[in-house]
Amino acid sequence: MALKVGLDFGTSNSGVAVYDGRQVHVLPIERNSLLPEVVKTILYITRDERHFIGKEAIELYYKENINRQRRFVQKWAGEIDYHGSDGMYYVRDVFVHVDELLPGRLMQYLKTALRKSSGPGGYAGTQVFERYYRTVDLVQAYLIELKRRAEAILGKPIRGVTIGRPVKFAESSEADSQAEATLMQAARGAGIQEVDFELEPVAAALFYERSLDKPQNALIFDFGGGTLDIAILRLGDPSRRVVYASGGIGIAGSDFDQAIIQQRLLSHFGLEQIGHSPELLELVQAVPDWAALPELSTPMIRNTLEQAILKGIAPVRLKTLQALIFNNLAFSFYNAVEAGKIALSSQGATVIALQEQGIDLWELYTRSQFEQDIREQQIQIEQVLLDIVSASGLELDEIDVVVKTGGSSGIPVFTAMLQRIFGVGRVIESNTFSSVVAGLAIRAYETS
Amino acid sequence: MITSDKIEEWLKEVEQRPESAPLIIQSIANRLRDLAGWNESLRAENIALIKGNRVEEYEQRIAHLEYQLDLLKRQVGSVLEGGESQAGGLQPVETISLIVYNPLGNVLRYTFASGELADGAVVGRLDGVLAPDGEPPRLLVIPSTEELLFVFTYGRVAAYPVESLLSVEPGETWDWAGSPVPEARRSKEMLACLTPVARLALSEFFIQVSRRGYVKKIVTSMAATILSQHYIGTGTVLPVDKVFETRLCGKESRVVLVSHEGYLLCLDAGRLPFSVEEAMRLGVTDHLVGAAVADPGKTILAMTQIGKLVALGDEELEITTLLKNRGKAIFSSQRRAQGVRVIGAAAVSEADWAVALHADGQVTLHAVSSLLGRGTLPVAGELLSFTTFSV
Repeated sequence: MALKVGLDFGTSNSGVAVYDGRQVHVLPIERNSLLPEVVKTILYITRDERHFIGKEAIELYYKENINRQRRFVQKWAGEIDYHGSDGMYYVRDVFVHVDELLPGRLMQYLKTALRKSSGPGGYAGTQVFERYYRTVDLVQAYLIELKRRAEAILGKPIRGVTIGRPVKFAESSEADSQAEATLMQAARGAGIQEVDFELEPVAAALFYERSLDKPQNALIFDFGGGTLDIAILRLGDPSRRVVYASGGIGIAGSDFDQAIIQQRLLSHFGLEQIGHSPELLELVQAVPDWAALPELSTPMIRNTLEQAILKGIAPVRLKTLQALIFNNLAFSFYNAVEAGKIALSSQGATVIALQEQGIDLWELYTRSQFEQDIREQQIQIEQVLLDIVSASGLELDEIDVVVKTGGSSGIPVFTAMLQRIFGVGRVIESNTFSSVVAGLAIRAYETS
Repeated sequence: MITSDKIEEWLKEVEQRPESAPLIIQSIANRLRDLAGWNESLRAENIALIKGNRVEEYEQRIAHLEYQLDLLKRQVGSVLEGGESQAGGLQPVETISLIVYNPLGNVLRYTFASGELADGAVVGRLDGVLAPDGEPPRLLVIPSTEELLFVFTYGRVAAYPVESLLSVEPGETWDWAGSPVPEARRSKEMLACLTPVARLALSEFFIQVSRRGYVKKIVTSMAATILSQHYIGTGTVLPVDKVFETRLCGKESRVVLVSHEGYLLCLDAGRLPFSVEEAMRLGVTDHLVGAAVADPGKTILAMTQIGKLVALGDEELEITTLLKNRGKAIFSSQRRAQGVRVIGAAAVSEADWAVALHADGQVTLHAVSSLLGRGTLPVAGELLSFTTFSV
């Protein structure tokens, strides 16, 4: 028998869940992962047009790109027309250097591409080797793989899906409709016959809404790996649901990981010891960006590092940097940072350590240090939160409940912030990692 | 790096949340423990550097590599010479050396060309007292380009190129009296065995086997130390025991031990111990007479003193994982009771040749294929020693 499932297609992470009338089952889509219910919204397309998603995509991206050969060739990219000061009209050819040995392309922020896929100058798609992928093709490729994994776990075909969508994909209603239509087209292209949508904040609060005996004003604080989405709704009566305001900010879990690396770990790779060497400084500054690291594994950079080590410029630190770039350790490193951050939600101190293949990185990291490191982001988030409350037209004391969900909502400093603004008794926690997808699964069950 | 700023921040955490203190202390203590261990090993390394031990070690490694290169050059050189003659339309001629030696260190070398081999031929005759110390002489046939390691019962070793050993003229009657002693014995030591080591660079282990069935292995990367220190160890535990054979082998090789009373044990070289341990449990009157390295496809040939041979194919060799094993009998107890004894064993293929020393001093040459076909080696009295070789 074919099923209808709930699908949370997030900016950073996605998930699939199914409801059997009694219980929600969030599918372990990402095997061998710290959180198997969550799969990163990342697509890797190889030269031979094979598609990989999530952790598999990242691992393959690292495996295929670290220490690989590169050969840059000049390719014609287009023309530029311009009018010279002498009154003449010029047309110039534009060439770009393309690495013809590139094994694949890594695609992130597919949901953001949806938001920006309409209008002049919008993101229409990209050329990947010999094929042009429209936005819908990219999303479809991701959904095909996600559906395949889900069906393998369920042992049944998926007939229908309820997909979560933000309150607003884009400001203009035209762009918003266009984004939803593209997502629907991608899902249908992935072989799903029945596609409908539910607002993500509504899905997140669905469990809570079912327990209500009278309508309430609720603030949904959905704080995940890639974005913070805030919505203020009138819950309790599904037929008379009102969205007062919604919005968000592109700050979330991955930004905190970057902040930790930036503030605490770059010194392990030579920052503050390498002096004013722009070449080396650029390499060290690239460490927080996980996607950029494999691109650094070129013979030229290896030579730069070797020369600096020979000259005695921070030799131990630069050896560590060299090991990180060339020994395929980046994934372990970013996992260690993320694990440290997660640990600080439940304890006051943790050790971020990486001790393998020539690296001896050890950093004792406390919650107060973490809170200090993300202070700037916290101020921004608080401002956005207050702006959305203000836009809703409600006073703070008119918000009856704050439902927090998403992995980053468990960070104590944000719980404290919400409790400070709204009062301790009004902040409740939904299932941290799966409330949106669980709500979508229930909605899928109800509408099937 | 632990800076004072960081320490301040840790203290701040403890002030804010005192419950974090045990975790912080535990983390720092674990780190200190690790660092103390590394510090100790670094200091030891520093001492080795200051005292010059590391320099010596690297010098030894270089010497070892040069030695191996020299061996390989010699081997490759002979192959090239053979190749040149083949290009000139002639058959490749390899000079083979038959080595006869005894525990007193006497070594006789007789050379002949690989093209001169004839089944049943008498190669020479050993005259006089064949076993001056009561032990029968041992035979070894190797290419003349080989390198020999003289292994003595007290663990001392000395290396000689085969070509540096004096050779006897064809037709001569050989006698121990006045025969060369390339490496003089010291104290009460005896010459235990001669080990060909030209393929050292291609081998993983030395396997040392004692007469009473004790075994140990040594990685060949230790060869530099062994050669520079002239010591490989006695390979024995019991005071009455002494080393019987030292062989080179690979990780995947099988080591086959054969005893005088007709027991055979097959062991996996990779699983042999690095310390001396009893591998084969022998009867009180028994001792080892054969230690062969058997590669896949080889047949084990055990020769008795009456010329009867026992052949065991590849499929009949069952690897034993348990040490202190008696092994399997290769002939019946009735024959053992009748006094049949094994005098030597080797791993062979059909194209190989065998050499036997008879009790009357005759040294005869035989094609292994004909031995396998007949099942016996023609002998007038008894056989004293037996060995095989490949061409």
